[in-house]
Amino acid sequence: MDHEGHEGMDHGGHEGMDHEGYEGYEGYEGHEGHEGHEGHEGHEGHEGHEGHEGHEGMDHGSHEGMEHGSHEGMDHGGHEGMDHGDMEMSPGGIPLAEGGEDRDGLEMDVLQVRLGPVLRDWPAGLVLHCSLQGDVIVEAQAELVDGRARQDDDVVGPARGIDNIASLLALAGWDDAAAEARRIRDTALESGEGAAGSELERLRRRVRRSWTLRWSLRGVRRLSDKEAHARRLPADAVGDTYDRLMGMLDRAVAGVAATAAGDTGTRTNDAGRTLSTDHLAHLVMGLDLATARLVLASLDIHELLAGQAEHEVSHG
Amino acid sequence: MDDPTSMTDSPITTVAPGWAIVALGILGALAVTAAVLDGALAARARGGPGGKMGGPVRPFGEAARLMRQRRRTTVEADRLLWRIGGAGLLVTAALMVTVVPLGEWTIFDLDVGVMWFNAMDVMVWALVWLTGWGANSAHSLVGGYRFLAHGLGYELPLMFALVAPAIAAETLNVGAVAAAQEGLWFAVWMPVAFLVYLLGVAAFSVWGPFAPAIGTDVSGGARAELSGVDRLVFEAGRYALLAAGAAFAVPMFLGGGAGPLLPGWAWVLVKTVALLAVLVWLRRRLPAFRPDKFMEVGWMLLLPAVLLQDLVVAVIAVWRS
Repeated sequence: MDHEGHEGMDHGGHEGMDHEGYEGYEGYEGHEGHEGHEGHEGHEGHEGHEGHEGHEGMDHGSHEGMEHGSHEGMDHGGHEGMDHGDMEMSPGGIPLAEGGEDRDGLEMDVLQVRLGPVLRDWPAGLVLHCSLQGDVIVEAQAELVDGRARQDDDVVGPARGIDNIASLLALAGWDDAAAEARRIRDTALESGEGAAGSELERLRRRVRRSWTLRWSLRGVRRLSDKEAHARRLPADAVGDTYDRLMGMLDRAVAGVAATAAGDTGTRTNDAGRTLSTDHLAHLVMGLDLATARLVLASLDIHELLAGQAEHEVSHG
Repeated sequence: MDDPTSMTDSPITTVAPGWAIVALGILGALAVTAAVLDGALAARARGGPGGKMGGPVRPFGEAARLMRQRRRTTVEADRLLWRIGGAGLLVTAALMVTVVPLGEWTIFDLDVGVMWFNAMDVMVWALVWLTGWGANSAHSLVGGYRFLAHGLGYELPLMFALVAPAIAAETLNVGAVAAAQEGLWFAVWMPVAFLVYLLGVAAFSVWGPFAPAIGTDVSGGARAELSGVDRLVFEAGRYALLAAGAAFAVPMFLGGGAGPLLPGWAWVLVKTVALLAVLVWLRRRLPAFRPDKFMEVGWMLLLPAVLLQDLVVAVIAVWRS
């Protein structure tokens, strides 16, 4: 029973959860992406259960107490075209949430929630399949939709950076500063002559002066030098989310100034801002939704690359 | 309740229940004022009217849009509780203002008016949470719980902030508290309680820095699945709560209807609108107080500060008597 719910959970829940109107997102098959996940070596008991891709992605640490023997008796054929409406445990076609061990050792419901690919203030095309306990992401898988490389030119590059600043400010709940950043982004796109420079400088001063913002973002997902390197993040990702926001602002100011001066040297900077989805999921595991989104926004992603793990699986 | 005035030395008169309609009208006008001001400030931040529904007229355009919008529902929604939550905010705000004297008139001259207001603001906990719970959606539920997390941080400081004027006035009757501020407003000599109270008002209105419960990072949180009229009523409820909170601060901290030239009722309205403007403006200045972080501020900073304020007020009250 436990595991049958997995696939339906995901599909049934979509309509209600994605508010950005991406209902038409088809072709994504449940938990296929999970196959690439590592760290379930210890579970020989699962071998041979072809129909159970969904298992691999689960937090096996929490399964110690479970009786794996009980799987044998399950009707695996039922996976194909299950009608969840008929199942007692799935009112309205949405299976009930399953329990899982929480950080404090008590059992807590696990909800499967998909974030993206179209979501406000979210890297375009990124899909994060999350297992939530409360609002804490206990398990995540990143995937990319339509990962074609775009070519940012000297105008679009800095503008994208400013757009990322706007997203981070919006996620931090500062609508006013976010609106200002968006306006500056538009100016940067329209004129392309560095008219945005002085406004950007003013925004940087304003953000730097806000002690409440500093208090809110300080210490959020602090990355050490080593960690950033291991995750193939750009060197400026080192520090906490506040440091990264300041870095974004500094880069934006420099980028706009360089464009205005006709200096194309900043292009090399942008190249480092292409991140692989492989490393994103690990960054946000264990964080709550709010901080996870702040952390992702603070990475100043200009471009996403489908990760290695994703290439290994077939996308039927 | 038929003749509560005889039990107190309240300086105000209770009006016939029919006047409640007028009180509702005033509350509605104040809520619209707040929405218009917010629309104007938002347009200024964007640097222009921005779009066809920008600026001060935004609330009207938004209301018209929501009234025409089809009501959406979710699978297996707990519809009854959901509706109660969404509509309850407006009702709560209306119940709050029943004890606020407009100059010399009030609808309920309760002996325990301060407690009444407090009970109403606690009710908001249940209402926002029910709105999040009822929709049967993950984001909604996260939003609902975020509000409770904020509540744990702001509610006790808010309660003790309300205690300070009550101690100084030696009564829980709102009219009597206003009358006790002859010459010196409570806001002046108990500023900590006043500021904490204002934070509390923003918090129970899910406003500004206390808006993570309906934040964009959870697609609108508690209100994520609300649409059409439901959403309109929920939003109106938030503005009404903000207005009611500002109105209640006038007799508690700003001397009620006291002031030169103008009659009492006019002063109450002027002070209310001024406070309301401050609260609306606050949203422009501050980023969100993340619930997990705010908990620490609430318990380690606000609560001790406001308790100290109560102590100071109590010592002064004893010394004066």
